[in-house]
Amino acid sequence: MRATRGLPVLAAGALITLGLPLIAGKYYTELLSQALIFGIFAMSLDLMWGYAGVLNFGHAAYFGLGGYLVALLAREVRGFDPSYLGYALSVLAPAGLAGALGYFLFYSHVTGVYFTIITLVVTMIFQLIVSDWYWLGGMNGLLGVPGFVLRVWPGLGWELDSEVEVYYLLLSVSVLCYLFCRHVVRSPFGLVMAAIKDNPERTEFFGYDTAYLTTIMSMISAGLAGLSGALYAHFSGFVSPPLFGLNFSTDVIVWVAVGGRGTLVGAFVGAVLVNLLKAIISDFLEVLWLLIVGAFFIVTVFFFPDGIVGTLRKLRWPAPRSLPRAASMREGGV
Amino acid sequence: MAEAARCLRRATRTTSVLELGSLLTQFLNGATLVSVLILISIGLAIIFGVMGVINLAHGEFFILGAYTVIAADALGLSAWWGIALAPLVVGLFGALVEVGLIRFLYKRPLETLLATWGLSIVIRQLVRIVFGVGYRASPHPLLGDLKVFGFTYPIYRVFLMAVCLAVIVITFYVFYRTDFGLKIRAITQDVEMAAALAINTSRVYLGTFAFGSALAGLAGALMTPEITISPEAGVNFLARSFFVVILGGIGQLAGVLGGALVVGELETFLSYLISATTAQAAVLLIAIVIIRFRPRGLFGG
Repeated sequence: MRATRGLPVLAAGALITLGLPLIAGKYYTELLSQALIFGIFAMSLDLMWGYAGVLNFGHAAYFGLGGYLVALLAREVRGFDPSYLGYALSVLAPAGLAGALGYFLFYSHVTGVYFTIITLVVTMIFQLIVSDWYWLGGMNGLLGVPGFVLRVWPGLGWELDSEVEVYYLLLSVSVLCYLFCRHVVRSPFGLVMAAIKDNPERTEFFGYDTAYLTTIMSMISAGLAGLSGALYAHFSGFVSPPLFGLNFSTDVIVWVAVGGRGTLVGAFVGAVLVNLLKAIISDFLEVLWLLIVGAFFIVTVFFFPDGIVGTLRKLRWPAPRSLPRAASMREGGV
Repeated sequence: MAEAARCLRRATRTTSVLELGSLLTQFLNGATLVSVLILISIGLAIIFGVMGVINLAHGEFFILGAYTVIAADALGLSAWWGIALAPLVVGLFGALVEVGLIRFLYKRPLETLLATWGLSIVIRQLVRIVFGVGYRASPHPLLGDLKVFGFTYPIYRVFLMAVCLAVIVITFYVFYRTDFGLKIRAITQDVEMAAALAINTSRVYLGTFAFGSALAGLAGALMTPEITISPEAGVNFLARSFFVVILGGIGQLAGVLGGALVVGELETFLSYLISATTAQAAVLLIAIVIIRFRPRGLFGG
């Protein structure tokens, strides 16, 4: 039932995303490509926030780590091939960091708001260290990251030059990442995560190791964020300390909140819409933008907790009121 | 590796210079930071402990206090007026925030966190619009040194510590010796029971939030001569005071004192050995490790 009803939406979405670069022009195609990268990043946050109920206020630390690793490899390794190794490392290292943080925090039952505050500080630590350390480029960041290379075999590959090629590459990566995340949240593991989100004590009582599972989920989320950071480094050609920063961590929360948390697609919707809006408004009034971001936070909390996608879904498929699950979600919902 | 070796060299060099006098100076510098951290963190801890509200705009309340001094200076008032006005202005502002925003989000920590973070972005940007982007210098109210047994120390910092001590005494007196404090403690234990006993909870919440905000404003005003004031200065203090509260153990007023002592002194001594930013990063890292082994705080049960 649901799948067939969603089909027209899916077809329209595919048509729009595939056709957009043909009519958008260079500037907006690049803007969209960047928004897709940010969408992957936002989706990785949504995995934790929307599906594990844990908000990471320092998610940019993983993004920045992925981006900086690629930039460092490009600088230090002679004849660096920007195809596989960089991506692999930029997934593994943030996942490792998330594992370490999970060991220090989730295993100490530091969850919920305490986790959020500590991650806020983690991202500050990173920004402090990176801006202070000359080897990492200091405040200037690292320049000269090579562009995307699509390699099918050692020695056989294409450099992606035009912005349309880059867009299609990023679009396919986004779709793959989305399918991966959808698989994760619908797998038995994802269902246990949903249970942990609803009621951690009871889930633990059922015999699940909640600390272990939450850590695994945060590692998946961090790996995906690292991947998006690596994509960003290749896309923009340089990385700088603000990628680790609190403001960027804040932006990604806004994207997810606007798009709708716990929906995966919402991450992309939010990233695209907010970045388009930002590009349009910043041209006129740089000063106003941050006021608007602040207002977004307050407005979404008060009036718009489900975000765009969540609200649309509720309109189409209203949640059955009588089920106890709906009640428990209302209470437990952040 | 090279960095580590350099640090080590610097460390060995400094230990040879380290004498009793400079050791004492370092300790007092640390005590200054501790005092300010206590002023900020007590407000944060009370608001969280009593209301379950995590106020991410607390750092901005701090800089609002600092900018009150700068505004008073622009109006031709002395820095002392600024320091006296700051807690009133920021406390009033806090009361407005409580009525307009916080009131709707009691006992929903994650949502207050988002809403107050939005508020902090708005305040920061408004400060940039009103006062300009860069650093601001401010008038120094009390120059000069205090000399005891041939040992000199800036008199303003001594004054700062004295104010902090006074605030601690007043806070503890209010909490444990007054009617208002009794109501606060009752609400902290069981808000429904307290309401049933005819305690006006919303008025106590309002008072608590305004008091906490006023303390942050006072801290900001007192720190104006000591730090470079910029719209971004608040976040730094916010992060440190959160760690003070978490390290001290949530819900304990006395824990704040211990947490501030650890964070402040550690950071001051480390920044003697390594660069100030790295020292700050190191302290935060150490705090995370401590939390692993003492999740209820250093002084929690």
